[in-house]
Amino acid sequence: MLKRILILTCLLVLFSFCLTGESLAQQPKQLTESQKKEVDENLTKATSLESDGDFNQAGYFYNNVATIYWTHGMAKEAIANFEKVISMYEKIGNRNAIKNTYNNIGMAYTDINDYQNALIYFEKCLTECRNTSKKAEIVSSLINIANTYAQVNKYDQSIATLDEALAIATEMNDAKQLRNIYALLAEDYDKNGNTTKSAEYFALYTTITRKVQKEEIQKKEAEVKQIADDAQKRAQLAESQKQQTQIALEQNKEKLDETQKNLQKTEELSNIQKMEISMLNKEKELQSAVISNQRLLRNIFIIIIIAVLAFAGVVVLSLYHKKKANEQLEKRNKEIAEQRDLIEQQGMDLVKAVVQIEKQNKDITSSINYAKQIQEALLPTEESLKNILPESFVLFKPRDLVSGDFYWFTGYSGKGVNGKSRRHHIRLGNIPDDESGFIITAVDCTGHGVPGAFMSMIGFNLLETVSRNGITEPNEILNELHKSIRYLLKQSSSENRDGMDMAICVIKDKGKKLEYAGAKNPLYYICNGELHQVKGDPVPVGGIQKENRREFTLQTIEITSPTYFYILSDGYTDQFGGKEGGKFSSQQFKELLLEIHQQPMDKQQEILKQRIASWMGDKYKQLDDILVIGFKLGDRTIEIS
Amino acid sequence: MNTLFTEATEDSPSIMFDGELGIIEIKGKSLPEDAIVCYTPLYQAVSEYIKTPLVKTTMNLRLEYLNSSSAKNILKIINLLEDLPPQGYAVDINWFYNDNDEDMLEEGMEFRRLTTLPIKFEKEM
Repeated sequence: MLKRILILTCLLVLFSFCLTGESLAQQPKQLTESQKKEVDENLTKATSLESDGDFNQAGYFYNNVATIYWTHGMAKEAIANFEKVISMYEKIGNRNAIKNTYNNIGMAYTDINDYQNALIYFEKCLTECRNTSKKAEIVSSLINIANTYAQVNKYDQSIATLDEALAIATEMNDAKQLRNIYALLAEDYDKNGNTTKSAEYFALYTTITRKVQKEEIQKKEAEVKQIADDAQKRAQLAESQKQQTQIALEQNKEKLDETQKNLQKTEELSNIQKMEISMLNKEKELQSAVISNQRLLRNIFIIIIIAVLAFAGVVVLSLYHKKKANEQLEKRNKEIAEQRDLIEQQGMDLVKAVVQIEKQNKDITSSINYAKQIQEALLPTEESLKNILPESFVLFKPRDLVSGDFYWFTGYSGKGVNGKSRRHHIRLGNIPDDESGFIITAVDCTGHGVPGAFMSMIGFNLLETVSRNGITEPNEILNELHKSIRYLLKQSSSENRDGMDMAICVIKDKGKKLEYAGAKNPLYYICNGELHQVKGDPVPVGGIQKENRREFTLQTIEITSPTYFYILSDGYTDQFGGKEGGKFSSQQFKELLLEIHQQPMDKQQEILKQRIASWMGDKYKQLDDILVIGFKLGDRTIEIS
Repeated sequence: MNTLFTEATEDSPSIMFDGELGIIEIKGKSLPEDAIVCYTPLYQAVSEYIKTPLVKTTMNLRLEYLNSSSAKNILKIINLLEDLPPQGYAVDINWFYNDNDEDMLEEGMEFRRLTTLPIKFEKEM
């Protein structure tokens, strides 16, 4: 069994390397007359080409000579000519041909059982293979060498050689070569007496043989199937093309008489093909022959079809174009209609949405309008301020319906002062009976609009409470407000950071003294044409705070001559406008105050209003609530009772 | 999210954040009705960034105006950055203000009061 395998393997190896080895049957060692003539002819050509310096062609003819000898069992003559071939190719450096020729010489020596020389040439061949790094060839060479070693009973060397071949073949996953190597290894180990290893490799050999055979069968089946499928596809194609052609032909009957004949032919051909397909499916072995027939028929058929189609194509194409244009027109019309419907629908949706938004807007606006009435009812009037400070004004311009800015004032006096009880005046038990004063503040709550107004409600009520508790120092009032807001809005524990920026003044000594405290907002006053700015503390009431306690600073201004006081929120100074869209700015505001302070208070209010309106122009909307309060002291005694 | 850019609108500033360069920049007027909406994307991006911050982070504030709720939200972002210096990362905050806009300088002063991070003041124009 193993021997048979070995012979088979050797044949495979030889086949894989050298096509000339195909007909290497042992023939009588004599050439016939005609063969001799052939040898002579080739030799003549080879020598003449060699002397002309065309070594490549010369090599080719020497190779012919060697091959003739070899195929007729005359290995020695073959070898001599192969050597000639090598000397030719050496001159032009054709390494690939040299490599193949070395292999052939090795084979030829093997034929005459000269394994010593065979080995030498197979080794040379291997060296060439290694130089080109073609793994498949290296494996083949190694197998040849191993085989030769085995012939001279050098099984260990044979095995060592095969191990290298095995490593490369495994890496390449070359099933066929692996099969050869396994067979040789099984043989070698058997001869060497290592039956275990031999059996092992034999098992591997049979496994891989089955695998290779299976793969080959599968591959062949797949090829056959592919051929059958292709044929069927072509038949289908032919059928559909035929149908198209028929339609065209009907439309052009008179002109296409000749074409119809062709078409009939085509039909016949197609029928033949169909029959062939069924035959193909049944008889796979006959397939290749049938396919080549079919191919020929198909080619003829295709040529005919092309001729027919070229003729009919013009007619069909013009019809097709017309049809397509009509279709496109129809499609466009449909699209336009759809778009029109969609736009109409969107328009209706939009109207609905607008109606709904208008309603919501109206609802919200009327709700806020109502809130505005509450805020207005709460805020003191400018008139009531003028009752106590005749020379004063309040410029109050909320951004929205309701405001986050507000102002608040109240007079206060001890119980002993005999005065009428009225609005904006409180009587306190904790101060001397004859003491009185007037508290006024301009407050800017965080935010504006509704949230601002919510804060303003809180601030307003706290001011009422704190003052009624008898606190009349402006800094103390701010301290109390801060504590209360911190408590009410739970700012020690929550994320809430709302608060108020404010400036608060308390007029004391019948108008001879003014006490001020500020939470971020300053006090401006002008005395003898000079503007003074009193900065408050840089922190708000409530709001962002890191510290637990907050102490505001008291600042006192003695009034000896007519003095104009102004407190405000930042709405006026931060308003964007002007040519460059900048802020009105504190600087400009101060300059404006200096410019207008000697005007009557009502006039000042009017100018401030106009200035900010023209600063905003048409381009800029009001940014925040605006509040400016101005009053004049030092002219006369202020009676608070 | 490694970068963020929001264009300025009528009432909100342009907001730029580049986590690969460690730069945060807020520029323009900030007076949105709801500042939380405006600043939340930046807040989230910075929250994510401080988990793996760069050696140095720079925050440039070029504000022309900011309302109090914007201030509150910017401060929240600055507060996030306060965690970095104790871990050995540098934080630079630059407050740019117009030469004659003392209101914005004061606004910056308040920020300086409210954070442990140093704020550098830079006059512009």
